[in-house]
Amino acid sequence: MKARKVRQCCLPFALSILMSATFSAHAEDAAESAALIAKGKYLAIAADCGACHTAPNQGKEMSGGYIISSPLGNIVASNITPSKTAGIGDYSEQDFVKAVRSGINKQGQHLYPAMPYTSYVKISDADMHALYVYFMHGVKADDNVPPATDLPFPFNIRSSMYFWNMLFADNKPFIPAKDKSDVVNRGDYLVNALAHCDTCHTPRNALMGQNNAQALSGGSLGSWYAPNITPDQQAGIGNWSNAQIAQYLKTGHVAGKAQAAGPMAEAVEHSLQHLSDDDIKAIVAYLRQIPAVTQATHSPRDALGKPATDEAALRAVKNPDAGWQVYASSCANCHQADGAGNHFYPSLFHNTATGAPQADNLIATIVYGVHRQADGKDVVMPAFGPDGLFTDRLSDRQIADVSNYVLKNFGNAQLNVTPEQVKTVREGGQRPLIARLSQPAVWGGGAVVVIILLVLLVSISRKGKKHGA
Amino acid sequence: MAHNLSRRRLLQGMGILSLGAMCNSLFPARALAADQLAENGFLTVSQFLVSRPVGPILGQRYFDALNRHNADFTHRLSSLQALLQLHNFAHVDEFLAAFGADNSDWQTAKRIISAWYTGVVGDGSDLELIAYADAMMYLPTKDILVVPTYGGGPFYWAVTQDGKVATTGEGA
Amino acid sequence: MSAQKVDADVIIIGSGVMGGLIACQMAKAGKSVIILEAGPRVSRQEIVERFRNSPFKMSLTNIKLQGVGSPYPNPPHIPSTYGDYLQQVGPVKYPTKYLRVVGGTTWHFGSALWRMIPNDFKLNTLYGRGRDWPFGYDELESWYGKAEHELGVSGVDGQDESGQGGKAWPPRSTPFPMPGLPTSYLFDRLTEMLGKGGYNPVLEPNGRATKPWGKRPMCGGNNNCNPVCPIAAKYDGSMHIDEAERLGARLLDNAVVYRIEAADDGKITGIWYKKPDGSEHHLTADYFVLAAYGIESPKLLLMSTSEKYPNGIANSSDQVGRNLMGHTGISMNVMMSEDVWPGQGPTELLVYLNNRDGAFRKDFPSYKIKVRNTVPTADYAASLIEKGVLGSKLDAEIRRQSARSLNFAIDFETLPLAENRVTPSKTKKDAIGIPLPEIYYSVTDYWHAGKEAGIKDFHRFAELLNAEILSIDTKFQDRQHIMGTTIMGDDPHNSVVDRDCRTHDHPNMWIAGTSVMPSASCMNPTLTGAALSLRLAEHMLQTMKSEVAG
Repeated sequence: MKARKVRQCCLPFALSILMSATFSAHAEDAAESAALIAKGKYLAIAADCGACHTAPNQGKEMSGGYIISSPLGNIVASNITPSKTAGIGDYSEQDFVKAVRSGINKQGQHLYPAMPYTSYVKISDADMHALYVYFMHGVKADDNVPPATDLPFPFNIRSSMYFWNMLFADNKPFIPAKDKSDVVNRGDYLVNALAHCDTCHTPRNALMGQNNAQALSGGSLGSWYAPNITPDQQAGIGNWSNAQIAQYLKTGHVAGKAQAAGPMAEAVEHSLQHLSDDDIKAIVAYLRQIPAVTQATHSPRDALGKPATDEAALRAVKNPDAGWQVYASSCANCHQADGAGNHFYPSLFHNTATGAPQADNLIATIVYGVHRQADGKDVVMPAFGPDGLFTDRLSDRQIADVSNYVLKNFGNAQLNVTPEQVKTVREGGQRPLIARLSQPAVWGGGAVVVIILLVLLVSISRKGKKHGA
Repeated sequence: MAHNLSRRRLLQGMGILSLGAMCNSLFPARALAADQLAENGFLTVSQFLVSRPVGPILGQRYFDALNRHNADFTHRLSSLQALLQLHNFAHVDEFLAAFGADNSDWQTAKRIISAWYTGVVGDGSDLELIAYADAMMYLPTKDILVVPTYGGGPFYWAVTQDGKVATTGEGA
Repeated sequence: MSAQKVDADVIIIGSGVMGGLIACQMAKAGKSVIILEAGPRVSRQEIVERFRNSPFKMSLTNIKLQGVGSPYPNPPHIPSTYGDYLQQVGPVKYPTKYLRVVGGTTWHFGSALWRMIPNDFKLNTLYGRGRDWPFGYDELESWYGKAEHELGVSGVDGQDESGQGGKAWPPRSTPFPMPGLPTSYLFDRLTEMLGKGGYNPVLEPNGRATKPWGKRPMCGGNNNCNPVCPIAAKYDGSMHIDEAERLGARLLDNAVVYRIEAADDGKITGIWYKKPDGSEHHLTADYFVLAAYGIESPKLLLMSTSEKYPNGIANSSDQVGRNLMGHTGISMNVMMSEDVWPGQGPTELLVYLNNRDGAFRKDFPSYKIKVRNTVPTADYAASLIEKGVLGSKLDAEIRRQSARSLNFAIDFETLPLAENRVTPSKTKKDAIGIPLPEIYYSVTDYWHAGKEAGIKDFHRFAELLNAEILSIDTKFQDRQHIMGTTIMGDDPHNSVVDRDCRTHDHPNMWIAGTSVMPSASCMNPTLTGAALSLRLAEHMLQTMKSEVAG
């Protein structure tokens, strides 16, 4: 970091010598400022602040208002433009750091961990400074006041976050591992601090704290599933090449392997595709050497399936298989009659969305579609759930049928999807234990108190180190 | 001439088929097994006529449809098969050079080719579609043209950098 | 506002693009809306599969096959126009094909979305033919822009759409919402060869998305625009119905309106509709929009006779149903002597408009020459086999003919003639007792002069392309663009609606769509109808506001 600062100062310093005395100091400050703002902007992209704080569909940058539907209820992202009335315009750098690293805003309120402060706590002092300068001087002030977050009881008691933080939020800054290369440490920092990949890809316990002993081995995210990205050959991405992992991060697509949808598509589009090649290399290097976490699976998730031949058997046949009927009429138009896709449309076999141990991503993709822009190119698969046009929409039954057809022919034939599962996915996924427990029916028994205490005891005894290294 | 030889041809054809098949064709109750065996003959003949591998699933469907639309199809097939076996043509073009539209086996061949190529069986307005995407008529242009309703992908058709026609990425 | 409770603020008859656009505008303004659609809802999947499963495939290039094997429903209560629903009684057939399903005829349209040009609005003043519009292009310009945005039009900015290869025309205050589709090898090669003969290439603005637009993906070259886009990249009216319903509009499908009623003071009071079982139902509203396209709208008005309105609703001018216009055309099939590969990408894009405008319109009509871009394989394979071409020659010929056979079509502007008309049949009825439409259509020497000019262009094309002409078909081909039957004008004696598309006779009823157009131009009329619909929606809302206040 220090070396960088010196280099940044060289050019403006040289310029200042050439300029007249009256301008020299001003030029130096301005140039340094501009460089710092640019650095802060890059960091904000890496940390993907805009993912939540910039509302989609032409929302003003960082002005909040985006509703994040968490399993506990709707969380509204705040306005973090330098507006003095609606944003963080009167935050000192100390206030800013406290919010981003500790999850406590200027008013002293605890933020919900939808704001990934548990990862951002690791951001270095220098980077925090750059971020602060960027947010104060590089973002346009917007006076839009978004609605306040109002989660149902008991999650509306923000101060309860104090106890959760005590259990699950690290206060430790990032410490580079002495026995790892600079590149791996940079990757560690990107993955666990800035890009906070762990907040999705690391499994969580019953109280929704990260289970860091199983770091990056996969986690549920509402309707979607963030898969195992440890180097395990069967359960993870151990059978991917470095180039393939890099390509996936930069474009969201590797033919014959995987494509990003849902929250990962957003991460690629708004954040990862903008990272420097060096930073991508660092992320890959880090992921390559974290502990491999095995899970019960017969095959890597990108190695299943083959082209289907049902078109020959079922075309124009009366009352064909219900799953094929949906496939042929809704899916084959792009994925082709045999499921092999082409240049543009992915093959459905050798595809992690269909070969995974869980069907969540397959179902979610059919329900929500795919919307991703990388390198200026749009990738679109329409939604077939309630968001879709009524002329194209599929019922839960139809989505279950076609999911089973796809799984049987192109992916993990062990899985079976029911219409109830489809309903769960399109309603935001399986609700976590604490959300289910918080319902009044359960409260009444008082049993929840006992259960929480038990879980706390168990969790404390299992709390492991944050670093996967 | 056709009449005089037809019985001989029929016997020849049946001789080529297994004994079980001969019994099956005499006893309609075992038509299913006969179908399967006859289909093997159908597949061989089809493969010869279209000069490319043919699938057994579509083969069975075309065979059944051709029988539905032509009461004497099985006999006509046997006749054609016998002819082909007799001459042992190396390629369908040789058969086509040797026989023309006035020959009933040639007409049978045309019917079979038409089924595989257009995906449709029948005459006039009494038509039955068996295949659409799998219709062989789309194969000779598969490298450049899509089968309508199946997309090549956004803007795949844009002319290439060096001004050439775009391809679908499939072989012809 | 009536003192009695009405079923809705607004009743819209017809759920196609025009009705859908207006329903959205009304619902956004907080009005309660009922949309009535004669036909059923359909799903995209069922239409695509019915198309694939049909042994008869519709073909734009083979006129004989056009209309055969339609994948759209043909229930007894609304027989399909692909059958013998339309009764032809004139010297020239008018075999138009519109769809009575939720979303309307845009389900199968080619999605050509052109503006008219300024001179199209003054055909009479400039060229002594037909009628002038009551206003000019400038009045409609901003509405064209809004319509392009609503429908999601992709187009090339800066083209001279008058076909002269000059500066950008017509004038635009907003750019196209989306950039145009890329051209294929065929289009580039034709541009090169025909350019040598002075033919200026123009790329059609159309409703195929080139960016994600609303819920639509980008065009993937499925090459099936007609009869249905399998992936919903091409605009169709059901998309506005989808939006209208999400905004709170109510849609009644399988509801065939057969009678419009007006009080003696001229106010429309309600409508009657029939369900497939023949049962009759009544609905009332304060305001009405008739958007059932150019055959059913006038038919309904003419059916709605009473003592006070013996000639039907909105017909004091005796113009309802008259002035039927289309884009009656001709076509040519050629075989190129080099591979050019029609069928890549959208089914249409490149057109030639050298005779779109000019002094010649005194003598013969404006016309458009369009290049059909459909995969020709199915047309040719069957006929090759029929001719006995088999074996390796069959593969070679399929490839050769697919790569080299082209079809060019010409759409001619036609004139509003009083004798060209739609009337309800006095003798034939459908399964629920509603009269079938009877159509009398004819063309004049004006059209025939156009035909001669068009044929000259065809021959010139064949020369420039070094292509062999296989056939030229001049048998009055229909293009399914219905216009004029509820014509617009300032004078209530010779028009049905005024310049705001409101009927002269009934202050609370408007007519939406292409049936109001006083001139046809040579261009597909959908965008013009959509612009007029958005404009009349604003007029309706202003009227509603002033009537509450007043």
